[in-house]
Amino acid sequence: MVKVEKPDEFIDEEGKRVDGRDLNELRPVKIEANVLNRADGSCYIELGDNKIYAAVYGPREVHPRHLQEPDRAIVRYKYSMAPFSVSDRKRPGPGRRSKEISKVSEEALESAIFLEKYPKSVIDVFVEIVESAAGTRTTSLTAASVACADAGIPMRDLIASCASGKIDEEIVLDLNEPEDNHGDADVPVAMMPRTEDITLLQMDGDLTAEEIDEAIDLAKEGCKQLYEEQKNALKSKYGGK
Amino acid sequence: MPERKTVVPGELIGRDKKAGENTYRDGDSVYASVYGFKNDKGREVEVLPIRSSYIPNEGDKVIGIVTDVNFNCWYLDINSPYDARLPISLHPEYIETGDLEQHLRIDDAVIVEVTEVDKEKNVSAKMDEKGLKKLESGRIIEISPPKVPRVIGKNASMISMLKRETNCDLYVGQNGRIWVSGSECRVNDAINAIKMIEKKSNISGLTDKIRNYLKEEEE
Amino acid sequence: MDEEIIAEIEKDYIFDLIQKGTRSDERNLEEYRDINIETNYVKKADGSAKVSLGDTKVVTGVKMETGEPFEDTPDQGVLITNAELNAMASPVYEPGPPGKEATEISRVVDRGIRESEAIDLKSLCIEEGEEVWMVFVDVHVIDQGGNLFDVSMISAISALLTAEIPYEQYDKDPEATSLNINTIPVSCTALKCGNGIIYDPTYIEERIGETRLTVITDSSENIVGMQKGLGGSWTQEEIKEVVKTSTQKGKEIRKTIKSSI
Repeated sequence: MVKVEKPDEFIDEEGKRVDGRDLNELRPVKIEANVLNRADGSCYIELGDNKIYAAVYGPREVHPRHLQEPDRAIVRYKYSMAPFSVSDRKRPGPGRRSKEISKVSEEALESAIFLEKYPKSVIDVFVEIVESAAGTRTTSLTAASVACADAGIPMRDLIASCASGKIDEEIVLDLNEPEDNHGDADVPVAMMPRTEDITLLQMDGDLTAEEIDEAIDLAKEGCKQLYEEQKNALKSKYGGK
Repeated sequence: MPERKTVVPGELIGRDKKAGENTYRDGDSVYASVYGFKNDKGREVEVLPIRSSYIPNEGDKVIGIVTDVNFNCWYLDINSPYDARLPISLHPEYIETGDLEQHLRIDDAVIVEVTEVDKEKNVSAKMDEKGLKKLESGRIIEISPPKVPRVIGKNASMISMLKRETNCDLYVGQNGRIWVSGSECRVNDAINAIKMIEKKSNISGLTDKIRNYLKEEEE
Repeated sequence: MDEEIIAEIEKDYIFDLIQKGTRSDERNLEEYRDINIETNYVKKADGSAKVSLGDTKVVTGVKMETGEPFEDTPDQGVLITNAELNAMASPVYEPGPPGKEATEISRVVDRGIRESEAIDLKSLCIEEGEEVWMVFVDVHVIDQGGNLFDVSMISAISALLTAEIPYEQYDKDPEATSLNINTIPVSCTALKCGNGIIYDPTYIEERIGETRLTVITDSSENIVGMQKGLGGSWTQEEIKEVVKTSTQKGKEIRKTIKSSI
């Protein structure tokens, strides 16, 4: 098991980060669509040491009924972490952090879905973090959108999501654990790749307006790379290109 | 049928064309709105979905399963986000209010026709016409509803071949439920063949491939 | 949420097949589906296993930390087993704290590990009455294709077999690096369904089955735990038969576990 300690320097003389990456480089990513049998759509993603399953059920009948919307579907997004996914065992059950992440992710995903096609129904999205290694909310969202597509949900676009941040006075892409725990800022971003419209944005740290702009630019580059992997995961299932 | 390109939601699939099923338009461009296969029809472009929920339409014949019995109607699960209501008056027999359970009980399977779908997706169905009935024996399997046309085939070529080769009686509901029955027939082979069609719906010459599979299995 | 919808004629069909000695997935009555075990899957856990049994998929993680022993067992480590039926696993599961079904699974898995003495809890004592190792076994079901008891047991013991005690993290002198497990408890679940007894039931078979019996055996073929479930009943003769078959099946499953880790 790995303890996350603050390194003496985040970036070495050659401009490489503690895990050997360039400043604008994502961790290795693996995405697979349609991995679960019972769910209507599903996806498994690894980004660095992150391991996450996403599953979608629906559109289906809403229980309880009073949550129904007469003219559109609702989306419910549930982010949860396995107790063994983090260094110190997490107590089971959702904390305030999980609830907030679920809410902003639900809204980020909802903006891409044609909700009016399925009035009175619900699209349930469940995300389970099996191993957590910084960037779980963005990585989950990337997987959830592939699971939605896999379930046949009508959408304007996929949602690709990753974070950028600031370490040693530099804006970098896709923070790893030491960078996330001890860095200066973290900017999770989700976007619809076609229009580059941003559907999730949070910031945690201390940045200037110029740095925020730079961070969003870099996160968008990361999203575009993830988008290619999302497309591959879906297309390779049926042999097409 | 030529092999079709797989597309994902948001992918550009045509310019200056009519936006067909499962697509949307932005300016001159047409984009896919679901995960599926691009079908270019010349002036129009559409997407054939790989999976999708069944949304009932008037006139669809579907296989329903009774989930609830009321004093004057039955509620049917039709493999959709929306249940269908079968009123006592649209059952082929005359039934007294309160006697519904003597005719159809919870978990009974029926072939019904959708008669009405209103704006709020309240669905009504009938059973009082030829071919609509309660299913008394056999199996019910489910496939992805958009694959139904492929299982039926052009001019019912696929389904006729399946029936001939396996000696099974088959009924394909528009909602993706398929009834397989017959006493001396190859039920498992028929089901495996249907699953194969569902999985390989995008390849050409599928009817011949399935026929060969069934011939091989017979030996 | 609603129960799974299964048409009456589909039930009759499955009963009929069982009468003829076969099943809807063409297995024979006692046959298990394929078992696939991947250990050391989660790096952050001290032990882990991802296990699939046919369509069923479970991920189990083991975490160890130091803590106070229970008052009545001051010289023993603490074992805590939890099971979670994630809402992603089935259309009928809902998010929330573990319900009756999850609790039963975690209790049965716990019984298998504890009663077979797979873990020598005394070896997990650091200082009597003061400090011991606490072993958390978290079983997470992510795809419910049936027979959760057996697959949960397989994944729990596989994760424990490959677990390493985190001495360094807690600044403790290493006495042993692994948990030293010398027996492998395995459960076998039988289901009475349509006048036949079948093993390793699918979720559809479980839904229409009359009654269930799980038998846990250890490496020496001792019976270390049993659990009857669902509403129906068993005769004593049937129980004898299930115990015999489960012991035999348990041997085969144990072989699979050993060759996978």
